[in-house]
Amino acid sequence: MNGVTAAAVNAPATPHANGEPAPYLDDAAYEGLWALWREARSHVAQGEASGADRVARLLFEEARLLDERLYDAWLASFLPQCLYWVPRRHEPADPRTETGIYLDDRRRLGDRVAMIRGGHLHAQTPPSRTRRMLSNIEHWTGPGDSVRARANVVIWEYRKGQMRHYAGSQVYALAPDAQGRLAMQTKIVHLLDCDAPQGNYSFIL
Amino acid sequence: MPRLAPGARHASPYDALVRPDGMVHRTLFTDPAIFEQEMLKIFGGTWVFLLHETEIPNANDFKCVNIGRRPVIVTRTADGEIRALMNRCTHRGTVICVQPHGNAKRFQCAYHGWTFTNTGELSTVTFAEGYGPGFDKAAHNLGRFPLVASYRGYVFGSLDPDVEPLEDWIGPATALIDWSVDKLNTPGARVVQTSSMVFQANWKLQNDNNGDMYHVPFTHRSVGEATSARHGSGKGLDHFRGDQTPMYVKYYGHGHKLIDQRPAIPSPWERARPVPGREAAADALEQRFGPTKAREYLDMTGRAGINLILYPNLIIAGAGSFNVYEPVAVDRTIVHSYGVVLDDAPAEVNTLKNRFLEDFTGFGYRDDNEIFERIQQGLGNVPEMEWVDFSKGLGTGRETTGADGAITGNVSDETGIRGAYDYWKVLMCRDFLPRVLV
Repeated sequence: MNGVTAAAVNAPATPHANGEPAPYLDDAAYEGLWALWREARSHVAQGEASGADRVARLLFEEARLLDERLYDAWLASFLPQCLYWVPRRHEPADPRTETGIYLDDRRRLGDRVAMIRGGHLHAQTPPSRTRRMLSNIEHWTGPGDSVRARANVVIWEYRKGQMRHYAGSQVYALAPDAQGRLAMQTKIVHLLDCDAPQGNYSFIL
Repeated sequence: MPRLAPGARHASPYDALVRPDGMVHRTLFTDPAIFEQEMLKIFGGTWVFLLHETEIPNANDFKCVNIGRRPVIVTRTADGEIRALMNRCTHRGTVICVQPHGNAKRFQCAYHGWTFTNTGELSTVTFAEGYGPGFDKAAHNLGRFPLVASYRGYVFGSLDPDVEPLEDWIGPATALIDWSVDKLNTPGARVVQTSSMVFQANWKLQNDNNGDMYHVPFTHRSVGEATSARHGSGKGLDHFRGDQTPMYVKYYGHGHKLIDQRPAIPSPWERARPVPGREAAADALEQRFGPTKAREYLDMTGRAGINLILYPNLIIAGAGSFNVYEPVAVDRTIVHSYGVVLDDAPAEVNTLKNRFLEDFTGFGYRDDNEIFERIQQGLGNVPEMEWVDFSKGLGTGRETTGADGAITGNVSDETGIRGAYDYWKVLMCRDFLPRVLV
């Protein structure tokens, strides 16, 4: 411990023979650990962030809602007239002229969620566990009060004993909602291997 | 190998694996040695789908495909003839073309610079003075399929030069190809790839499944229920609720089978799930062309109607889409999906077609793939249970043979799947090896 003894740091009443603190995993310690876990699962950042913090917070929040499969909150975090595009080609053309992996309006996003929720989507039985890593976040101002952003993403997926990963970049259009708070309007997920034969993308990308 | 009755003898080891009572042996899906033989005797032993003519429309266009794992360059020569060349240098075996598609008169091997024309002829041997008088340049042309032929734009190749003519092999199923092509038969119709997917299971599971309506209400329950709950009945897969319907399955011989949904789909447009942009596109078309013509256009946008599976690797799905199965290993398969773009139709028609093509490939195929992988797990790991049951319809008296020899069954019967396994046995029991021309 870089020459500093545990006893000096923690100053326990009764130092253990190995220099470790006295036994402390009691009910109160368990309560604290369990409460920390539950708090972290449900905590939403409070208060007004500004600038880069505000944008990053929205992007992280959207990723977390998907990872936690909180689909009602996830759908509600998008503006009513939202679009969700996952291109199928590395250099996509105008999406009117070619198919995507997704090109969803709110109605088809709602279908996507309903199919998972219905309990009979075999490809999500059991469901995928996912963790999205966002980095390289950049943002700039769009028309009016809107904000554009892009980020790199790595999605780790665990399902049926197998860990898979997906990498790509994401593009976002953010705009004020009816209450004037910035919200997600459009999201584009551009996977590195979007034009390769796809495995079972049955979770929401 | 399966247990045989005492004293039973079979001319071919494959004969006993497909039984007349509809039972098929598990090793067809799990044995790598059988898979290797399929690449010779099935993918090398009959007509196999290569590509659509409109994918290589111009002189010197080419596209690379894999046919029973063989890397193949399909070229259109300067004369307009379509050739299928083995993408393998005749010097050391190197794959010579790594571009998925393009336009080229010649292909040069990156290893020692040998150059071949797009007809397959070896045109240049580098530092040729190093080869003695025994070197026969003409014997070093690229290997090519002895037969290439097309029907209504669908191009097939055969490594068996003695196979029957393509139209005879397709047989009465040509009428279904005609129906599908004539639906969208405009000069501006061209085929584009729309998606591809990979699953960890045997290729025949996909071939079976495309001729299987029995699974639809169960495997695709997520799509059916969410669609009915959110958009009302009569949409999406609603016509597949029970098995007493005007739809039917059919077996045409040579492994070709059909599910005909058309009797249950008076209007593809009204049946279709509400895809994104549906309302705006319909409004635009009605304003421009009036309701009657607009409905004609809108009925071109969906993909339901028929599943016509031409053995071993092509399924034509309705009018304007088809899939190609690419076997990779005994337990790994890639499926490529294609759509039709109509360059001479209003833009809204093509936009809607794209949204429809995303819909079932996105929502339906994922459950199919999950089921294929579960089957592979079940068949691959319980050797004590040897047989798979494809007997549905047998002995019921509800299968009928028509004047053209095709057998029709109830829509949930396994009539066509059994037929495909009969053809599998015919091909696998042959004493045959594929051949190339040079």
